[in-house]
Amino acid sequence: MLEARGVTVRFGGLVAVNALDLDVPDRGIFALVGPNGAGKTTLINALSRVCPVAGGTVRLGDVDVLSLPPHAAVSAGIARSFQRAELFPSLTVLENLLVGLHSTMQTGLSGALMTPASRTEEQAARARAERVLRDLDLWEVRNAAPADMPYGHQKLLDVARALVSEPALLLLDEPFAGLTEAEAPRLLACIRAAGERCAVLMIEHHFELLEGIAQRMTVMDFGQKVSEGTPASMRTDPEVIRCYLGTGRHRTAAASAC
Amino acid sequence: MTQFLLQIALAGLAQGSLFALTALGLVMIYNASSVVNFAHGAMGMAATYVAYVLIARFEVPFALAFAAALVAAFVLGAVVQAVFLARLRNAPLLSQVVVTLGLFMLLEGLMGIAFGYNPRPMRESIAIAPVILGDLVLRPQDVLQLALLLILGVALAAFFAATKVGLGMRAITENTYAARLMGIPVGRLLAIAWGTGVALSAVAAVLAAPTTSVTPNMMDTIVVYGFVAAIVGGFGSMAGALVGGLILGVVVNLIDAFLAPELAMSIVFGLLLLVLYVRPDGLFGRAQVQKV
Repeated sequence: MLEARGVTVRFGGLVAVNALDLDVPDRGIFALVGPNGAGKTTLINALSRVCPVAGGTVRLGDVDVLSLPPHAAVSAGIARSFQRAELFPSLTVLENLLVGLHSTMQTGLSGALMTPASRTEEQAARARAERVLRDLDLWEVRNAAPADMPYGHQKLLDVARALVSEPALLLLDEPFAGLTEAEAPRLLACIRAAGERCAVLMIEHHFELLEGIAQRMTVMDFGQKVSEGTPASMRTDPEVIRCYLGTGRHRTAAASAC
Repeated sequence: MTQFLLQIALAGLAQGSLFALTALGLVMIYNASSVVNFAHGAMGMAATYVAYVLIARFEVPFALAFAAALVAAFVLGAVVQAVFLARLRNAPLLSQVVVTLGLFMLLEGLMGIAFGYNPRPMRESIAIAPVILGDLVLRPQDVLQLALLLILGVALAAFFAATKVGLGMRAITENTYAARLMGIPVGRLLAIAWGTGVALSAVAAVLAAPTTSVTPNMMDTIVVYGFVAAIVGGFGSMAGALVGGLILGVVVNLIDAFLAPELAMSIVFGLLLLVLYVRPDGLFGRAQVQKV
């Protein structure tokens, strides 16, 4: 499980995440919610080693996550998607997923020599990529370049690339943002399935959607944890209502997917 | 006349293979790190001295000396990236480019101090009979150059298309930030890209040495043509660099034969301006579109 204690991230004089504790069990879907600027993405960046951490500890199982260089986070079992899809625009959809499998592949230069070991490994990698692409209805566009695809497809591909490495901890940063009503249910099903295999920590603004899938949510404001509990308990928590929920609601594509 | 023209073109292709090899290395380094390596020729030249010393002083066979020069070039490129440019990763790109300019002058100066500026002859690299194609003749040196360009071109294409390291390098070219987060060891792959790129420059330099002799400035003209070839090909396209180099070789040889060798550089740059006017992104380049 993920165990974060006292995680603090500073940008100059600004404390973006302030001594935050977070526990995420091995399996299930967990949500990070809060108003814009609360520090949710910064926390995900800290957990995935994108930004330096000023203090605290983070352990994933036996691994001291903060001692890892950024590129080793995937090998340690941490994969992530991005708020704005960070793809390789000229590589094909399939190649984007193979890059996501980079850290799991053993053969390096021998790939060009088509040795039996490299062939077997590549076949296995392609099979994994195919499975994820079919789950997200992206198999038909496997040879397309993301630069030529609609934004919703790019967001799905961003999540697919994180899923394909079969991580222990899947970090998703607003995965439903920009999806159409037709695309959202596919992603929802994939996230539900992933939650049965690994821990999913997801930033999401659609409270109704989270009520349908998240076991627990952590509410953040000004870099600190405001409250934590089941979605139902958060809905009636006065602090959460004050800083985040307010009193109005609107339905969205993602909410309709539930 | 036709036969004469074909002979000029054939010799031009052989000469152009040196430009193409140099350009391939330049593009490989640029694609990986976005740095235009002005020390590219000088680094190839420095590695050529390794081959020269092994052949002239220790009578090592050419093939072994050639291999040693390539290893030296790879190490030089990887070290320059890992030691100097990695520290400047967050510095303005201009600072990184100035490092390569400084390295260019430093290497030429160091080799001048160590070996002097007098040209040192390098014997022909292979002893085979000239290849006769009908009425056309290819010198052994030309055959070696073209064969190596072909082999290395195919090897590079396979490397980028079918290896994990090649895919990783393409990912770095597209989005370094995301590549790092996908588990790609960016620093290591950049060092490999620099090492391989400089080794390609060394291939061109060692092959050129029997013609140019070994001097600290032996690569100055070749690397300028390498830059032109890379730009004509659309700086960033490996195929473009290869084709650009071969076309340039033919053009330079035609100018040498029908006008005057002293005019070659001026005319080539005039033609470059014309090509860029008609196709600003080169022959194989794609327009840089920025979505806003």
